[in-house]
Amino acid sequence: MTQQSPRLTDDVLADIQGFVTSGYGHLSCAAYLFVQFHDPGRARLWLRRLGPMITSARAWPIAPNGEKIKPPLTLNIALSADGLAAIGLPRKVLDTFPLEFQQGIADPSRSRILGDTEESDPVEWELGGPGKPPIHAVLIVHAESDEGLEAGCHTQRALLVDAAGGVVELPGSVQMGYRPKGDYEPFGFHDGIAQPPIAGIPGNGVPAGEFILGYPNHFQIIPPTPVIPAELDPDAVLPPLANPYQASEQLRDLGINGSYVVYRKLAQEVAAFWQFMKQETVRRTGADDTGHMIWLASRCVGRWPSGSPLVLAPVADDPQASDRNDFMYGDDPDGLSCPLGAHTRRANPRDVIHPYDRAHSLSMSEAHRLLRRARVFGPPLFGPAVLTDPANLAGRMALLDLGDDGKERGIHFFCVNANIKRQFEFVQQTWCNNPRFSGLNDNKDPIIGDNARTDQASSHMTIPQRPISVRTAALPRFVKVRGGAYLFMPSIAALRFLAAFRGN
Amino acid sequence: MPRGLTVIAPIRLGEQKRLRDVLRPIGDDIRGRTLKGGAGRPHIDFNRSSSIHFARFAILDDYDRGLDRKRLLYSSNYDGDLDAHVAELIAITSDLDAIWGCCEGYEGRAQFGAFIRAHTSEPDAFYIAFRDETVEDIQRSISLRRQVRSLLDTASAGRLATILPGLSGRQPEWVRVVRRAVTTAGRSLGAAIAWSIRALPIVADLPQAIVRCGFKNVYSGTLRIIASLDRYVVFRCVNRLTRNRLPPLKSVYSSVALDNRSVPVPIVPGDETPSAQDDLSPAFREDVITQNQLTLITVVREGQADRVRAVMAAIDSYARRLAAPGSLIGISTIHFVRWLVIDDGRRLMMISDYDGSWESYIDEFAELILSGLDAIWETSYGYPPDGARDLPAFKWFLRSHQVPSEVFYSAYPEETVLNIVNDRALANACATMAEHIGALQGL
Repeated sequence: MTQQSPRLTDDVLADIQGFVTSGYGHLSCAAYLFVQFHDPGRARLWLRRLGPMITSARAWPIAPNGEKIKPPLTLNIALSADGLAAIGLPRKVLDTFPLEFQQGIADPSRSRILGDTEESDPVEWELGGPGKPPIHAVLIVHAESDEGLEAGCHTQRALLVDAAGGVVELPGSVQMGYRPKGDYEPFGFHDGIAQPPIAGIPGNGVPAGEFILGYPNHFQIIPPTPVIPAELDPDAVLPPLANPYQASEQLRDLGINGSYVVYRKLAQEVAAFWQFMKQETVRRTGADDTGHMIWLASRCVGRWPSGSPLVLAPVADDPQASDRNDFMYGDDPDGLSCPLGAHTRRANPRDVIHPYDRAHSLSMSEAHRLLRRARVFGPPLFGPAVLTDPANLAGRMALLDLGDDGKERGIHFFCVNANIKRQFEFVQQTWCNNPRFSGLNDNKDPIIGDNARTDQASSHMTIPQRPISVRTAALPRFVKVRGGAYLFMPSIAALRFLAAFRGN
Repeated sequence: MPRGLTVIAPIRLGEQKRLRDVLRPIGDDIRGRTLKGGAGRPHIDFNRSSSIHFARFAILDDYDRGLDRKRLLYSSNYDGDLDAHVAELIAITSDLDAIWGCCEGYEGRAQFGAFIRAHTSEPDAFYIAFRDETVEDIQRSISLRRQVRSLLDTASAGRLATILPGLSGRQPEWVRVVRRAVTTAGRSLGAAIAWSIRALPIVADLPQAIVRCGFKNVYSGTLRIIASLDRYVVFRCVNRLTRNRLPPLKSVYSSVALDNRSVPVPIVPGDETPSAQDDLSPAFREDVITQNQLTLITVVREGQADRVRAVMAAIDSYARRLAAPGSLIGISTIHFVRWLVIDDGRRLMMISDYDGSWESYIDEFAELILSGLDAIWETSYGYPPDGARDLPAFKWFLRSHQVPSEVFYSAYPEETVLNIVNDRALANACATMAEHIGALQGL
């Protein structure tokens, strides 16, 4: 139910961090700096100096030649619940944040929901897990080039030095990401295509309240936002809370124009992925046919390596359709073109969620959308042309004997949503990790599902075909979680408040 | 057809803790799928049962008898008759007295049947996803599916797959298209006729409901249920004719409390709330396994009992006469659900066995039957001003009235309703195939 929404005014956009509304597609380099607060006073001083540097969602200016003037360097910040406590926010205020945010992504109850067990158990994480220094805030820097990124990080580190120990970068924690040419993620597939438009920026789309706090959401309700007692904000930096049910108290809206950001460092076992495709191909066809390997891998992903969706190109990859997102699954209810259990079909089932009708499937899909803000890390194990160019015989032969080079690669997965539990966690739990999604029996998302769990029955990938469907052997876990955080991305005004308020 | 049993029995004063200590390990046995019964600890060997679909024990407040009083809820869905169910319960329970001896009026296993009957409450609305499936039917279909799947995984199935398309091409394409169209049309016509015939008894249900609950309650209650069901032609017509729609929202803001750590408190005396010291956090138990359970008790506002009963009569009539297998007005994650107006109309209890996480179950409700949810609970204390459309407040309302179960058993814990629908289709297809192959004796 795409909504016609009033346009968000320039003042509102200037209060929202740019990361919420933009993937900064023109900036291919990214750095993520993880910091810890040691002294609330100095941390607030640091925030005050940082404030004017934060990139907002204000529309980019237009040059005389009609082109948008895009920023060459952006800076955004998000804080964890621990971070908000460490700069002195009282317990009473923290309790108005959602429980899952207060607990954090590494809490055992969240791990149960997300399937972060065994190799993906937070205990094993390099970042954000128990026993590691806590993540209080993340600085997200995007730049056009490596040099630009270095300069941006240099500025930030200088500010941290000025904070004189009040704010320190977690040792060895900095993460670098990039947007590879052609946007190929490490398994070799064109990625980052499907992003929901936000209603009102400008035009139609998913209701703004699904991604930005303080606006009506999919259910046409403004859900609760974190609030502060008015006496904490004597300068009235934050707007008063307009909720009539809370009129008896003097409250100010800390959440409005903010959002929640989920970070997951996802390591991809690229060699294991393609070895599995080879093993299954040999088992099914008796030969090590690379074309069949790519066919099988594409069935798992839901798109071909070029990015073309399977329902639009059911037989063979069609580079002409690589960026197409204007498709539905209504003509493919049984998954004969795109299997029901394919990754993209689970993450966004569009108009077919068995056994619901079209309108309800669409509505349920809309209620669980995420804005993805991902960057790749690690060098590619092979060139993308290997998968998209059938004439590249040498490259394809190499695919057969792909070995692990011992280097880490994967995706820094960031997503923006207004309700971590109903959006990010729901998609992971009810759609990706659910063996019974859409009437399936023993499938899990072959890419990001919690496959190969020792405490559960094995999970597979079923590929519907006439007359009989094909089922793979038990799936290993190709994607492992290496770190993560649940973060609050405050509005620009909320940042000013956090920098100015006099805590204890 | 499976039956439902709801037993509510007062617990003897001072026996509450002992009963909980007996029940909890029984529940853990089921969750751990292992019986650690040994050393004389009472246990219930549900795995030996061949007729129980679902069963649960929960300990409820008993405010009407005193602030510190409790009562025991036993609820089950079973095949066969009540005598056989009681006999089976006796057979699989190692120490009946240890559980039921904590209840007032229990006089040993010899009188157990009479005791159960004396404490049974009849549901006001009862939905069964599959009215014609016994536990054994369902388990047979699961086993058939597994066997077919492993057959299809073999190499010879691959060879069969290459032969089959060649065989099906012997008829011209248009013949197959026409035949398929005729068959489909015939089927939908048949279904429509069957539907109308099944709908007829509703006419008989109606006067009964009117006599019991009053015309006004039946009329307004039914309208309330269908206000958001515009997707069905019949209901859309009724809604148009009677200008029946959801009232405008009172506020665009959610009415839920802003403090996310606030603890539920009774809204009126006698309001059931999960106690704060309960170490079994419901949220922690309904987020992983395939099937889950919900026991909900709310207090009905004074003078509204007949209104609730009227709503229940409408739901019950629909569920018994019209609901398609595996779907209650589009909700297809419920195996069994029962509503009971108890305590002389002062409380409404819901007992459901459903698929998926608690969060996704409630989200699905909100997507599909907003007005139905309002009809059921708007007469209860604590219901949000904007009803289920205010989803955060609605979820809080449910959570703060939910009673955790001490024991929850399912005979087929890995099966969703949709899985069972698919398994039935597979079993039918296999039966047809077997018939055809049986006709070819020379094979």
